[in-house]
Amino acid sequence: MRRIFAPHFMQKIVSLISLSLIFSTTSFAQKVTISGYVKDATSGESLIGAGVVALPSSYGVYTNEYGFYSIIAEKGQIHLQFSYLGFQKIDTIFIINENKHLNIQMQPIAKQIKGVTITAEKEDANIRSTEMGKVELTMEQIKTLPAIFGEVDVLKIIQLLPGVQSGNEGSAGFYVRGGGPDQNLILLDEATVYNSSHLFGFFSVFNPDAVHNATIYKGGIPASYGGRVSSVLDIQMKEGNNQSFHTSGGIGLIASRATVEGPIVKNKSSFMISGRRTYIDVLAKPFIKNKQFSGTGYYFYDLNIKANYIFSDKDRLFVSGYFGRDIFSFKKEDFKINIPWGNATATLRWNHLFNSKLFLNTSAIYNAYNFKVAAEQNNFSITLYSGIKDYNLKTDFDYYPNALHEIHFGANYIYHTFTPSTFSGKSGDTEFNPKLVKAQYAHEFALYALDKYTVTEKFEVNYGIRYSMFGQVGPYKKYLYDFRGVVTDSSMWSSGELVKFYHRLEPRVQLRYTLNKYSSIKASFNINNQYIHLVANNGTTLPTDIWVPSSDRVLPQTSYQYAIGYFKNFNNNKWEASVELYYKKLLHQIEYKEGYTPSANEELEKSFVFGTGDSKGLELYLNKKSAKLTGWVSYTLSFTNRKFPDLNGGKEFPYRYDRRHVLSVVGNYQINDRWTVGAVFVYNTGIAYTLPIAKYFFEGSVVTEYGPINSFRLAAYHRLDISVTYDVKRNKKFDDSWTFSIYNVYNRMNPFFIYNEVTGIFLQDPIINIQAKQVTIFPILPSITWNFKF
Amino acid sequence: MRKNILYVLFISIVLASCEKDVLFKEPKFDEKLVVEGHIETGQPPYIILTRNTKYYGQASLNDIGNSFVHNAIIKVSNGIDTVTLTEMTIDTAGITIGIYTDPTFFINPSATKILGQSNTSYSLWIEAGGLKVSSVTTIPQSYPLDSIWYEENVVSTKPNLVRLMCRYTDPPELGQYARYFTSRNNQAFLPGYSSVFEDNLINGTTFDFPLDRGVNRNASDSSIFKDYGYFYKGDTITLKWCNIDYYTYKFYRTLEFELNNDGPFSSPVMVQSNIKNGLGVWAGYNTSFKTLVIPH
Repeated sequence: MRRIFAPHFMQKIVSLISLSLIFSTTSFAQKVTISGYVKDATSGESLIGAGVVALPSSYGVYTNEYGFYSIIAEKGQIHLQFSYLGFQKIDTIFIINENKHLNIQMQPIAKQIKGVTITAEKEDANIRSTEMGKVELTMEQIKTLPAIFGEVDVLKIIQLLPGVQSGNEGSAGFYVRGGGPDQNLILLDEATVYNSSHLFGFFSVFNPDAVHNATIYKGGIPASYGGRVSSVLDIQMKEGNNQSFHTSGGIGLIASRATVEGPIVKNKSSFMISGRRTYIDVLAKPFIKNKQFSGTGYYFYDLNIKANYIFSDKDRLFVSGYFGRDIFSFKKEDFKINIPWGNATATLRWNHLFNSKLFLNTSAIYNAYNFKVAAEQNNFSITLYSGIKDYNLKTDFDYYPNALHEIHFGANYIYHTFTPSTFSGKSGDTEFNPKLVKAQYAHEFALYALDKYTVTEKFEVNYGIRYSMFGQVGPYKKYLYDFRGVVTDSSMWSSGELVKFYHRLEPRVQLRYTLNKYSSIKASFNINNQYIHLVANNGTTLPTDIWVPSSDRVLPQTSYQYAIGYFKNFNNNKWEASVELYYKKLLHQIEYKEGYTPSANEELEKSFVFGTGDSKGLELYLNKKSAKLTGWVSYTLSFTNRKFPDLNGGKEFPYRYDRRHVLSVVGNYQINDRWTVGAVFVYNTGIAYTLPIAKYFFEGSVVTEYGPINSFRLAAYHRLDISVTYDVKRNKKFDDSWTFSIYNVYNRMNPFFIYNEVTGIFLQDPIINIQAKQVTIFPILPSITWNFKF
Repeated sequence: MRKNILYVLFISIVLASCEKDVLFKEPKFDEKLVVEGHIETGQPPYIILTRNTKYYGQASLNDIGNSFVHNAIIKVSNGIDTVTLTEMTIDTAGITIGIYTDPTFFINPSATKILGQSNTSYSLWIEAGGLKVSSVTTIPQSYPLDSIWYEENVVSTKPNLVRLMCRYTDPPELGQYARYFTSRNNQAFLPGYSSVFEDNLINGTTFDFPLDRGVNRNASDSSIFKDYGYFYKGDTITLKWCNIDYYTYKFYRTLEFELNNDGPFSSPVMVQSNIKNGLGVWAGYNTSFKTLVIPH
């Protein structure tokens, strides 16, 4: 039934959109369209999210992710104002009688008044846009903030926003409004990054030098995005300077970076190559020499490349890629192990402008994540391999029919290949290979349409729908198991044959009502579905975690999210503030069953149990955008729970990252044109913890009996970081700066994990004692980084 | 080497870590009976009964002594006969340990009503101090090892070490489970550090594999991990191979996981007991033995 219903529903939505278009087109007949690209004059980089306003009407639009805008105006004299934070405003007044293509190059403001802020770029965007729960940031803005080991990280900044939480100490993983780590769609130039962290999450895979811009949607996810139930993090790589050659980089305590960019053909084409490598292995060597862990090696690296070519005002081609690996090795006596893991992505994009009102982007994307272990001892060797690989085709249209509507529609197709933990081994001449575990294949397809409709000057609605489909296909062999997990029967599907099909409708609505020039209220409702899943058995996400598709045992995850907010700017838009309330319901959540013990060559889904989750919260945000002191305060009060019939005796339990209070204070003060100081303070309620409640002696060992899941709390997490940046200002050609930062200034012993130390031997020692020990991994840590650019 | 490889990597990289003692508010728990019980082929049932105690803090020998449950009513049935076990006590380190068994076996073995047999299920009922628990275990069919031998250690610095090797032929049906113990020079049988197996990976094949020397978990880590896995030249090795049922496998699999579970990336493993309303295990073992003398 639903299969028939769905396309009909789509048709209705599409006709609704077209009806409202016809209506509004007829009432605005005497109009012209001005369209073009907005760029940084010094580098030629596209400016994403720049504001374009037709004065005095104050009707405005934003540039899209390629810096393109299209605005409708009445014939005659027109006054257009272009604004982008950190750039000089451009006012242009001209007479117009027909559609016009107008490219704009904006000049950056002198460095001393450029602050550290996170904001949508138009001054009053906080009030005017329908968007809720969306934040954009540019890397330039965060480089003077303190960072652990001096490594600035976009994901660590995102954790400081309301509604976004960090995982463990130092982790770059993030949790949005009670969602799990697999529920964030992380995109790098449209390619999915399945594992966004290096080294247990201490660093993200995003080299700050290669990143141009990052946007997070924690609610109100537009219909153009899909496939995850909690958030979208959309990261754009730098395009490269198409005016002149530049080299920039940094030397830090544990890693160094270098970026080269420049024109291939001036004004037409540019490239960017950026690399980063750690040298922790070299630094750690003297400390671990002659100890248990000598023979250990570890490093990671990232490589980003991008190039683009402007054929004409109508056509532009981009090609970009990322390749990163973590490599761990260990060698001792006759034992040898090598563990590489990482992501690879490649994106080819073509922008085409049909006319001033219709913009098209088409992308072909490849991305993969792999994890491998190769170990050898004597003549015994094993290999363990897992991964996920996607081929992705995407086409998106931006259509600007008239001053009241901005329409986006498109389609997306992904072919997934999942390789679960696959083990093979060799003992002398005998080889053993898995029989049960095989790769799985799936098609994912989606159509979407959305319309930003300005109903009245005060009221705007952004409504859209996404129709998503997922089909698992053969070759596939399905096993039936008995209670022991022993195979009792199986059925086969041949290559390409449909095993299981799901389809869902995902309506997305956002409303904005302007109360006055400085305040508005907004509301949003979203349904999102997720067809691929990662179930983590650990407190944190690890490189060993495995993605699995929906199948007939594993249903797609679904979220319903409701949010309402009050937004206010004051002091001439220098300060922006918001209060948001949200409620999120999560269906078909997945965890491992009780007593799960990981083992290779097992279908993971037979160890899954299913349940629901919910999260509700209040988010407060105060952001100071300009002047010498910039920064923000964010506070989140939230309650997040999970309920699984097969866990915790069927009783509801707190989610591991259920933190009642989360407070972040971020500040940056420009003392003069050479010195800048920055500070970050965070306070989080302690994470939920499953505490041992009793013990018993069994065969001479002390065995633990655990209490209800996550029913205890570890100590609260808080710390203060400060940084000082000194701009050397040698000359115009060579720009360099030193950043000194101290992480955890007052040396707070934050819990990273707890272990229980048992001392005494059963029936031999007079006393057996069990003591909980809290391990802190990052006490006070000073660091220094030298950044340069020429 | 047995430590989680990620843990090794983690510790070797994070050089700045430090730790301190923490105290949790003492949590509430329900008192439960803990069963350490088994029945082997040709043997009567043996049960040690204890109860759980608070987790954190000190436990003196006296406290440990108090955790043994005496005067319990314990019955075992094979579906035809039912016997009530008798508590036999051993005094050690100043405390009294009770072992429940059928004493007929020591007086007049041929008159023992219940001795472990292949393909037989055994029910267990226990009543003590107002608590009642029960369980069922099965002694499955026997699939002994084909043969055992040893291989010289390839690490030249320790030429006196040898590795125990075995050959096993798995039957075609999936769902075979086993547990093993080793004994050196007629000392006690000790289970392997990871002592249980299932045949998921090797179903229906004949294959060779090394078996690690059994360990006494009730000993210091350094003695457990000294020359871990190896035997020594001059040893007489006796290998006890036991076919077990799924629930016994599941208990030991989760137990051993929980005991080895430590470090920043671990999450609690709930030990899966086959005792209804209680903790521990009621295990049936189909035993077979092989002996190997390693020359000097």
